[in-house]
Amino acid sequence: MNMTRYPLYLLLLAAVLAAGCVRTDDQLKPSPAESRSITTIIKNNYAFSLFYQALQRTGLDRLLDTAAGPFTLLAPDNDAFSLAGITADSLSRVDTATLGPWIRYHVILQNVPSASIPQTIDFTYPTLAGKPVYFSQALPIPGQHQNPSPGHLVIHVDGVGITKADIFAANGVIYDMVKPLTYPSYATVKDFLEHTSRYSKLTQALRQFGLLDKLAQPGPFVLLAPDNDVFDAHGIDDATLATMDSTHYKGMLFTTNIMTPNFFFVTDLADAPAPAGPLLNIPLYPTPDGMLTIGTSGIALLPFNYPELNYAGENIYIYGEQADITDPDHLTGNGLVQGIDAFIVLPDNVKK
Amino acid sequence: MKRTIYLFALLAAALSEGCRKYAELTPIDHPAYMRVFNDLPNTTTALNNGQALPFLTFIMDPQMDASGAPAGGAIVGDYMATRQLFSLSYPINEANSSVGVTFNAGIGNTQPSTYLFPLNFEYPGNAHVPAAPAINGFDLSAWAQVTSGRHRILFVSRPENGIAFNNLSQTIRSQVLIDTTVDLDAGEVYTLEAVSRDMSKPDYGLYFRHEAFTHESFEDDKLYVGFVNLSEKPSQLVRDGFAPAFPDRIAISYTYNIQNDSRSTGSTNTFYYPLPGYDNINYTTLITKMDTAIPYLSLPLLPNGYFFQADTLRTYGGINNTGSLPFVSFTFQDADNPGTPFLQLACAQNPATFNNFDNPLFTTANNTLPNLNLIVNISGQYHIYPTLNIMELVDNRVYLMQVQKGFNTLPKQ
Repeated sequence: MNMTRYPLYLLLLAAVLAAGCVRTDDQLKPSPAESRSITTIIKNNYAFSLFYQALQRTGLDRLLDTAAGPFTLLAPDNDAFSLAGITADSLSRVDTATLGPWIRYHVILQNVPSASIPQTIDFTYPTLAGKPVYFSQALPIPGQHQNPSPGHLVIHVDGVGITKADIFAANGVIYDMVKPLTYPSYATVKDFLEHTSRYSKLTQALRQFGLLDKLAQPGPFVLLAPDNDVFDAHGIDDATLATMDSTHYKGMLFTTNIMTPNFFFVTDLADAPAPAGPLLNIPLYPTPDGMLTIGTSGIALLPFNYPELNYAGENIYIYGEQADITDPDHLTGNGLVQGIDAFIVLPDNVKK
Repeated sequence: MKRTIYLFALLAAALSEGCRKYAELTPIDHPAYMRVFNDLPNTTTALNNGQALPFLTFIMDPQMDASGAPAGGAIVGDYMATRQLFSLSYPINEANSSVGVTFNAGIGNTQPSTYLFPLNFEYPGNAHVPAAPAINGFDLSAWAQVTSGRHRILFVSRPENGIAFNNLSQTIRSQVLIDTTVDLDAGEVYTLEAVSRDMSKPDYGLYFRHEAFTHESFEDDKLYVGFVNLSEKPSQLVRDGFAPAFPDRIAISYTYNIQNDSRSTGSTNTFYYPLPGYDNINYTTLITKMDTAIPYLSLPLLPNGYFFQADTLRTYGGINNTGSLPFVSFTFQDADNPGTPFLQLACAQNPATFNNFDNPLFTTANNTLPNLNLIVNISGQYHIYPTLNIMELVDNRVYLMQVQKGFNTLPKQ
């Protein structure tokens, strides 16, 4: 063997050893990028046939393919339309002037994968319709180990759940919605009331008590709204209502129904529950006249001394009834109307 | 032969170069010392969506991306949960993982929970950073060395998940709660705490305390306790008496309790007598909030004999008892509405288990803290160390920061 080669072998060995010792981080292969566009994915999936039909009628299918993205599409599938009582026939009968803003309200003007959403409630994102949608991601509560927990992503958009998040496309992301969103066509809570016949008596009552115009102010408001059936059940017809004089009642009648500055969808009560108050294990909301207990299990107005009354075995529901939210989440430009099925303050109980 | 030596030298150099895995930390010239806590007690709810999720990223001297959102910085303390109720002056979780932390989140928990995302209760905590030296006889290794001078400080509200701050979306990284500037002098010790100022609306700030205890003189045979009220402006629920929170003016009194051995018949049937001269003594009334200068109450460090019974160390308190060791109890009253104590706090628990198993937020031991006498076993022998304690009152919690005194000397027997 040629002795002069030893140094070369040694150098080669050193280089191999040195190279072997250099540590570099393992590189994960990037997942292959989705090459199909949002429109292509929706078009090719029969489960979204109704929504694709609506996209076509409003021209949004072409817009989503040609306009500069990225977009986030909040896409209700056919089951979602069915859940909302909308069939292919009824959807085809909606005129395009109404359909346009409604469907555009399902398009967010940026890429919003679920991991990018702040862990809070009612975080706004602008939509193609010009009005924002509200994303709520469930907050951790005591005993909840990891949130969102694997496989149980808890996200609501305008109080509507998500069947599947993060369907990635070349120009954005798709969320499969449990129900179609409702387009907030009214600028204020007052507008909503004045154009919704089932709340005509409440509207008249608020007008007579000088509260209706307040609901056109910036807010935000949550109006706990008993519908006409509640008034009828207590024998308050239009004639009786017309005779109700605000000076004959304590101020808490109807003012307790207006929560401000507040803004919540019904699902927010579970996604971000307020700490429970004493005795009833229900969150409390202070009003000038009593404690509103408000949770997923119902709403009631209790006197401030309700714990003492309860310990004494006395009735704590001295102002009105326990109400449930039966007509939820009517979003307007300055708040929400939550329809309830009872008077939380009965007029007869607060007569002067 | 000479050539072979050269070759081996070359080989050794190549090997040592190839095997160097981590860069050495650069020493910091004239450092200041900093410790950071997240004090935020509340979170956002459907009925009060003013507050933020109290899970933070602390950033010193942030770098901004093109959109103006922070994207890293000179120091990033990520995954900062609301602090634990008890913290020592040295990092007891040093080198531990931030993942799989067992901790009780608050009221309603009945069992310790293991969190599957990273969780840090302070900065530096378990971070691998140069720590402060002993100053004035205090072990300050829970404070990190940082460059002195002016620094920009950010606290950002982040989701509870395993995604590192730099990989969070620009939307999330923009959720800045606190953006301020601090001046740090070389050789000085600072404690920074993210605090909320109002329960009802988003109003956050930095509580910045230049620790004076490194310059003050303390006696070797005394315990010291200071108090500061960092509570928020109360909500209507608190004002109506439906949720507990410290009042604006807090009267504080104290008692030094010694077990009455002749009357006590078991761990749950214990009786105490007050140390003469330390029976329900009025100490002070805290009338201001967010004070940065803390006066200290001095208490005697009792002789060793008080801590042993027949040569056996007495016991710490448990879930339903306050044990047999000497302990100090404090009574907090509303100075404007005296008569009913807001809180009676017994400093009687075991510091080693307190945060994980005796969390007063949920157990029946909801009015306790660890013992102010720090008991350390050195070479099989127990030593009772004096401590300096800072109690920070936040809404309905008392955070105790205990700083060991004279750690480098054995205490007097």
